Amino acid sequence: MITTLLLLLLVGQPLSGPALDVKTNEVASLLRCPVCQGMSVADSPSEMAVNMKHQVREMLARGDSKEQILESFERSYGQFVLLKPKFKGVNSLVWLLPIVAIGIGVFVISRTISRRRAGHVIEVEPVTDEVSASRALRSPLWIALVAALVAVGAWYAVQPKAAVEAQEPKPQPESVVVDPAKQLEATIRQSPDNLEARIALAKLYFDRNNMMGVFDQTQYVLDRSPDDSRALTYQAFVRIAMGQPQNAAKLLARATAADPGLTDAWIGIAWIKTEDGLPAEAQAAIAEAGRRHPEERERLARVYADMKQRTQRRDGG
Amino acid sequence: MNAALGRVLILSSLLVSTVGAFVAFAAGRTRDAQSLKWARRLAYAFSALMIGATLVMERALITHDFTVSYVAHVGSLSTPMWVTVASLWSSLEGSLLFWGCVMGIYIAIATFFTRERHREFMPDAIGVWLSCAAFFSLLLAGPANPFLTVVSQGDGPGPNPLLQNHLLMVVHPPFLYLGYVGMTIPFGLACAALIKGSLPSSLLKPIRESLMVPWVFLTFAIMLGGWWAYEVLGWGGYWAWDPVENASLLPWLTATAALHSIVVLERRGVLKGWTVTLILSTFLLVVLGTFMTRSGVFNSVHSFTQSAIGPMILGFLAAALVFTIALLSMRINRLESDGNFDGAVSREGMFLFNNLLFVVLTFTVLIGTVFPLVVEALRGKQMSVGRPYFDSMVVPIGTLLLFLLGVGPALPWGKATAKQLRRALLPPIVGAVILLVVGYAFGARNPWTLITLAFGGYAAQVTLAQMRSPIVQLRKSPRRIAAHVVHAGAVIVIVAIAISSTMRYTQEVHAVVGQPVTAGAYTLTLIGIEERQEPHRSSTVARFLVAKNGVQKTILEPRMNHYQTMREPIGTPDVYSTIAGDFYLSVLNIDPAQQSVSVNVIVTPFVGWIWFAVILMGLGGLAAVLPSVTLSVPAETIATEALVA
Repeated sequence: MITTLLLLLLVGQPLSGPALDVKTNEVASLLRCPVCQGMSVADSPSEMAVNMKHQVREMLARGDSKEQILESFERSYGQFVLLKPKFKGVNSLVWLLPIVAIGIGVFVISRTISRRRAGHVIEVEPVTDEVSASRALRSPLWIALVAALVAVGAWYAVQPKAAVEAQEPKPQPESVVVDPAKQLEATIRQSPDNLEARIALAKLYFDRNNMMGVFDQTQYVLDRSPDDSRALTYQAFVRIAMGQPQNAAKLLARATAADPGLTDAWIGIAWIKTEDGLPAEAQAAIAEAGRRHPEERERLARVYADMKQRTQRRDGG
Repeated sequence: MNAALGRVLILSSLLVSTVGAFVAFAAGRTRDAQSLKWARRLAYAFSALMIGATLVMERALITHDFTVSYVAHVGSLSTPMWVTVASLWSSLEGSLLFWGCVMGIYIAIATFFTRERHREFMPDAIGVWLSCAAFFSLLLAGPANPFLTVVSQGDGPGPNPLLQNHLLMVVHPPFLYLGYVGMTIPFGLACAALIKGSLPSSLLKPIRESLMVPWVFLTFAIMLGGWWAYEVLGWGGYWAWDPVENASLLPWLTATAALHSIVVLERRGVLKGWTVTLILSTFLLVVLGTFMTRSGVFNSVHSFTQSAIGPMILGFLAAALVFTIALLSMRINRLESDGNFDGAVSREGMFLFNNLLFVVLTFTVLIGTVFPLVVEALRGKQMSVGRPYFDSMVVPIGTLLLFLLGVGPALPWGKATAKQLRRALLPPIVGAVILLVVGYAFGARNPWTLITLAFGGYAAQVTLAQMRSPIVQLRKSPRRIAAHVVHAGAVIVIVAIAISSTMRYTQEVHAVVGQPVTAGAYTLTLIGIEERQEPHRSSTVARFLVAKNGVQKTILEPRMNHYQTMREPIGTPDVYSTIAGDFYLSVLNIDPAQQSVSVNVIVTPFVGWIWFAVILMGLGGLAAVLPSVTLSVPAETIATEALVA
């Protein structure tokens, strides 16, 4: 049965029934779920993976071959989406290096055995006594003092960077807040320390251009959780609006360091770079965001085009 | 108060370990007995300070002292006691503190057990241990300080929900740390041997034992991590070749290779430099693994611990790498052997091939893990190396290892005659055929699975025969028996992995309350959906009645858990395990309004055998260490008495 199945696949016959299920799983396990953490489309329960799996299923049902499907996904998502790298270009190294390692290993072993069998004995140098340290270094007190200085120096060197790392669960950038601001404001009145609600509210305020509101909410969050990447990002947006691009850039750098997957932070960086007249760097930031969230590429392209247009209009007028 | 006390203890441990490292290295140069004594005292002092700091943190956690930054960060009044205690390793700063504590315990024990011995090597070994200790103290005193004073908010968010979601996640990290940190001890001993330029056979025992103990913990840790993934993540698998999983596997592979090459070294006096190299690599891979887990360079389930300490660990890795390479290149030729080989078709020959395969396996996993990073750094392109790659590379190597596991122990040491070879190698073919036929009868058709079954049957028969062999029985050698127990466990693990991964069956099922649905031989009936409240979470539970071939088997309750700090619910599957296999239900979607549930049904044969066989491996490893620790003194006395007589 398997051979007939394979033959059918080679000529690209449309599939159906259990054979389709099996084949869908097989192809989906070769594709990486772009929004998950290293999971295959077959294993991931995320919405995006489910959609991609349906896509695979449809293509198989239409009669596309495995290779065609993989190629089509590679065209739209990049080689990132292939869990099994192709034997092509630099990527072939990942296949070749282990095989080369086996070759070297077998060679070394065969030489070791043949040499040892020949009774070849390597001359061993006598171990020389190493009492060569200077007299000053020998005094235990000296050593202890120097060591203590090293310890204090090292401690001093790492001190200023000390900061409590906020490890809030990572936000899902694609999740959109549908609740109106009123509802969130009520939630916050009830539980002032609901930072999630405050961030959601800040985002909403930002969309409505209420910069003071964004500032207040993000400031509140940052006081409690100084490294919250979303709070940093929206605070940065306010700073840009206030005409403090330097401050904003610093906040965004911290935001992307804390969570490189945050699209809005990259958009903020692109914004500052565009304002500074550095289109190449702006584009790099947008590309970085797109690379992390391939599904948002279209939106990013739109935002970036809009950004450029605005700057040009302002500079022109 | 707790915060200030903790800071004082951490700073003191930094001071003590740094001074201790300098004093120890100086003692190595001067051979001054007094300095060595002081180095030992400082090692004990470091242990005491680190354990003290950890106890202070536990007190702060249990008494909910929210003025301590770490408690404010992971503590919560609403979590149950076991979660509160385990919060120590739920986030970066605390887990590093715990790490320091484990290091303190290891260093104290190692210093104690070597107090009267290896006088030539101990100063440098203690120096290396305390240098590593000083680095971790520095992380704790600086960028990862858990004892900062903050204004109390009265309550905290509680630890990461993933930690609270399952007991296995609570026990997995301590085992991992016990495995990781313990590799510092053999590393120090191996460095000392290189620094002195000699590796006498008396030093092999402490090296082997100090390697075996963390190996056992690492073995358990890897298994617990896989078991956790299986019980919690809901996709029905236990190993995804995630970078962080690989990080725990890499040092395990080299440590396993080293444990084998030490046997050859003890027996034949060869492979000194090679064994030392494997031990050094094990430690470097531990540091690399720490970097991978703690820096967040990889996007993975474990990266909730990402932080700014990445660059510092990378710096430590670079320093350790330069140090070991320099040491090896200057001294490895002094460690040359006292014996020689008698040909490839012998037990020592098989040990060599075993080492080759383990190293190639390590190299392959390492390449597959870091290759995407390198490509991204050099060419700016993102690529993936995932499960299909690892499966296609690792399965053949693993199968070959299983083959060696059968053939190696069957062969005699040294040169063998053709007749001896026939007598050793032919009988186990019976075992191979039996397991192959049984597997085929139960429906195994995948060629790799069939090969694995055949090799597994061969290895099983060899292992059982060896355990009963007159030599082992006569000598009552616990180490030999222990080795065979580990091998038996390994055979079961490899066979169970082959069967469970190639013969599993999945199906998506949509169930409405009261209406039975079938999935293979099983029938599922959704009894109801209920909401459950606990202090730290609320759950939506789907209750299923499970029947197989019409006979009622069990009730399963896969669920969705909601945590206050997480927007998305975490699904928790439920499993019905039997000796023959597992029936696994993972919720995709619960609709209380429609009284319907979508579940993924996963039937995996044999999977439970993996956990128990790994436990068998670990216990075998422990057995190899424990008797020799207790018997070591009498054994030596007997030896000297024999000499005197």
